[in-house]
Amino acid sequence: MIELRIDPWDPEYGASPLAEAEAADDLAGVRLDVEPGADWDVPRPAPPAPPGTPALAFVDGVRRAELRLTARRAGPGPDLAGPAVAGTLAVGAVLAGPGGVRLCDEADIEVARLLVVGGTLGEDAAGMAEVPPLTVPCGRALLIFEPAGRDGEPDELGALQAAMRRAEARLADRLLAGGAHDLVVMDGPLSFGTRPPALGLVKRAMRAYLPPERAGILARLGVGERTPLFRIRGPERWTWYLRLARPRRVEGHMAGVVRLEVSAGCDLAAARRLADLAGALLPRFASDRMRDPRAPQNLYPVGELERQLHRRLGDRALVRRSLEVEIDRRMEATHA
Amino acid sequence: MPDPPRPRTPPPARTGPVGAVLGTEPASPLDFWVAIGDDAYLQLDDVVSVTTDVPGLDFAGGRVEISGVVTRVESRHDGARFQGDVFLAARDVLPLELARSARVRTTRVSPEVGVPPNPGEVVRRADDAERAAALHLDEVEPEDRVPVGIGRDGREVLADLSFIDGRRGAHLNISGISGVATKTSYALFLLYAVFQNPAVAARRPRAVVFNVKGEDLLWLDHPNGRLPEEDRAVYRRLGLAPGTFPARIHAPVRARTELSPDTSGRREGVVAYLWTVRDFCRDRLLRFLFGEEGEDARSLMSYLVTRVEARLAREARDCDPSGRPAEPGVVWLERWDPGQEALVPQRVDDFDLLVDVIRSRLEHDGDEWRAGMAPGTVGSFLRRLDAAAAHCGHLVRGAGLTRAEIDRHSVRLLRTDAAGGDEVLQRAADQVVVVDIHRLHDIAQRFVVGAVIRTLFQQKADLGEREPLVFLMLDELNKYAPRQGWSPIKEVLLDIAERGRSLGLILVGAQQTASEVERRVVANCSVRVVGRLDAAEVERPEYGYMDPTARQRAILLRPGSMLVLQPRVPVPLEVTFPFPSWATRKEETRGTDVEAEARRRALEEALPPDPD
Repeated sequence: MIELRIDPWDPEYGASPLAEAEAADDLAGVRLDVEPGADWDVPRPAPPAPPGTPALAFVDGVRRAELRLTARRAGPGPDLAGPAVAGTLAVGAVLAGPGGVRLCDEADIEVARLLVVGGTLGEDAAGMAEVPPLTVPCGRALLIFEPAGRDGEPDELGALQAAMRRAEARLADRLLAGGAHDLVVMDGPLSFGTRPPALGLVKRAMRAYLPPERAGILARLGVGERTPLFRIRGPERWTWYLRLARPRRVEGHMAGVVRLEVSAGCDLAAARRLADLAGALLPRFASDRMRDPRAPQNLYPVGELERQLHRRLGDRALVRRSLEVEIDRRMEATHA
Repeated sequence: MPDPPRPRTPPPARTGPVGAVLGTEPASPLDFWVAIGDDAYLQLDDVVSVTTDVPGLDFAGGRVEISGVVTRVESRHDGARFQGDVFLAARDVLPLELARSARVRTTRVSPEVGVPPNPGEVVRRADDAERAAALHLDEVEPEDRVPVGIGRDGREVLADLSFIDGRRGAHLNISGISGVATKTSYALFLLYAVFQNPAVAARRPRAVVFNVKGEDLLWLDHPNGRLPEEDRAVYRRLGLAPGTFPARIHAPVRARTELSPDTSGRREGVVAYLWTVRDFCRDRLLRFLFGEEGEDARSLMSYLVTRVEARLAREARDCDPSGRPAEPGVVWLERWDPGQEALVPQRVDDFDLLVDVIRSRLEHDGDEWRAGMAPGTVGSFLRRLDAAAAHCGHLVRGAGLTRAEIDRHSVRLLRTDAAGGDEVLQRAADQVVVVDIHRLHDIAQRFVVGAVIRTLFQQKADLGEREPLVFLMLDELNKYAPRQGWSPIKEVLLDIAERGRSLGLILVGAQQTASEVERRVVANCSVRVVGRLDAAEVERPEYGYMDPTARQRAILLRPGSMLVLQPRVPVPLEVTFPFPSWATRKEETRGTDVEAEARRRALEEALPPDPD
């Protein structure tokens, strides 16, 4: 018998998953001189636009913690307990190609609801097996939060985030399997080794991958220009910096610069080809600071995709209240 | 004048599902919004239906069908927040979704449970049966259906005859800017449609039509040789046969001539009209020479007019002093002779002599006719009488007219049978009498309109029954029944508006601006039509029956499109109507056999009148 009670703290409290993915990289393993003939003093010029209309896909996900809970296993046996988060994630893609720019088919949009349990209960497989799905009537819909452990993540929100990343990787794999896309742009680092032409786009440089004597090139990058490729580990990837938009005078030189990465599953020539393609195509999608607080790195299709996905999470207040009503109903049923 | 471009009559749209009730805007039982599906469209005036579940409703299967008319259609980008988003979307950078929606004004709820449709319910464009129900046309008896045009949805719009012929309501009113609103064309089209209704046709309806501008209406007894084939098809779609009006065309008698009509474009088949001195006195027509607005019915001037009128009616004699009958158009009156200081008999056979008699009586101090009026009032009266005489004197005659000539040249729909004095109907060939006044001076126009409609009203009132239906078509109501002031014509028009329904006298009125027409005249009309309106005019309360969208539409209506409001349907519907199948000017009669037409008419003239 699993008891669920509400933890009244804001469920997003303490969430800072942005930096974590980059944190996993091993800076000691950075190898700089992997692109023969590349000049680290002069940026590689912006490549010409490729012929035709290349097909791009932008994959992204959103997630929301609905409610913090505490879960406890009552009754005979060990007294397992732990914090829990009921959360929702949605993953989808925007396709930009000869047919215009549009949201992917409804069937490719995945919305999942999870009840992430931590603590001693979350780590106990037998205990978790006793946790039933949290089924919540909400309007005409029935929301089902599937139980999940933390799965090695440091906290419940991190586990929710990881689940979202996995869903993104699954969608990217499906899109890549179709073979119709010249470039699949993923939000954030390629943590799951998704194969080329999937590209990881890291919006914000949290860590300095380049040593001080090489970092000067970043300030000299013009729009569409990139640094030479370099390699990073964990998993093994090709990576480079690309400038999407010119910064204003008052902004730092990293404004408008993104780091892109592609799996080392492809050879140097393929990586260079993808890097040139990205340099030719992505600046077009750079957002305007008036429209997006994360401009210009949060690309227009991604920003709009996030808004569309947020809609699919459902109304936050309504979901939260439905959860509270359901937990109250369970308590009534227990006492009766 | 070149023909204004006419809107094409659209083909009927596909029926079936077109979208779903919106959830972002609250739906109400009276109006709701529809999200339009990707593969469908809705346009203004489309009729839609939605069936919605009503929890707890334990009849009608727990479901209510709500039908209505689209009064507004919108499209926008879902998710767009900035103006520039549209350009980003056009450059294929920003994915935005096209959102199209339509607002529906409910016209019918069945069964009558006042509930809104639930968001998400499927909305369908109504099929013929659903549309008929939504517009309450299924309540119209089949024999009472009158087509009034093709709706925006490409299907016919019907009116209920019982709201036109006086059983439930009567009178039509049309507003719109001259030149672009096609008021006259539409009024005639409606008349044509009514006349073609089998139930009406069997009852031999009549119409008096005033031609106030141009000579457009002087040709309506001729087919339009330039009627395009697609307009013929529209007539047929509406169940009408394109054709003409059997008409008698009257134009004012030309001054200083025998009996020839004063027209420029058309000569043959036009009959001059006039009044005899005798009719002028008997029928008390003097007041219509004083037809200008502004005079209060209780003023001294009006009193004097009424008094003189009464004296003329009472004292005019058909015989000379020796008792010998005078000519049929002539009367004998007594003139005050200042030389003899006595009243002397006077043969009055033209209008100038009549004015002389009146002047002699009014200038005679102490005369009964004068009734103690101050010289100022008398002077004013005589000045206006002189002015009127200058402009309409030639329309009132007496000398040398035979009984037959008088019959032929007077504008009467119902005329007195010479034999028995019974009222008999005008010949069937003269179903429509066109009275041309467009070349007359304003004073004369008022006199003719006043005299004709008063006689008509009087005859219908004397007849005391609704049959035959008589339609009276008059443009420029703002002149004849102005909101401000009083005039004798306004009095008659008010009588018609208020009592015409029971007398079978139907007013088809038109004006540029309904706001300047006597309220009660417009308020008594059961069918109201609007062509293109001035932007300031449409905001006036007279058009309160139109919602803001309808008002905007009225400003933009093209020639040949009208908004029709009728009692059955709670929203005004836009209709288009075909070109006249009768000629509106001489050139259009080309290609038709005018000569043969003229011969046919001449033959009919020679035939005895219809027995009924």
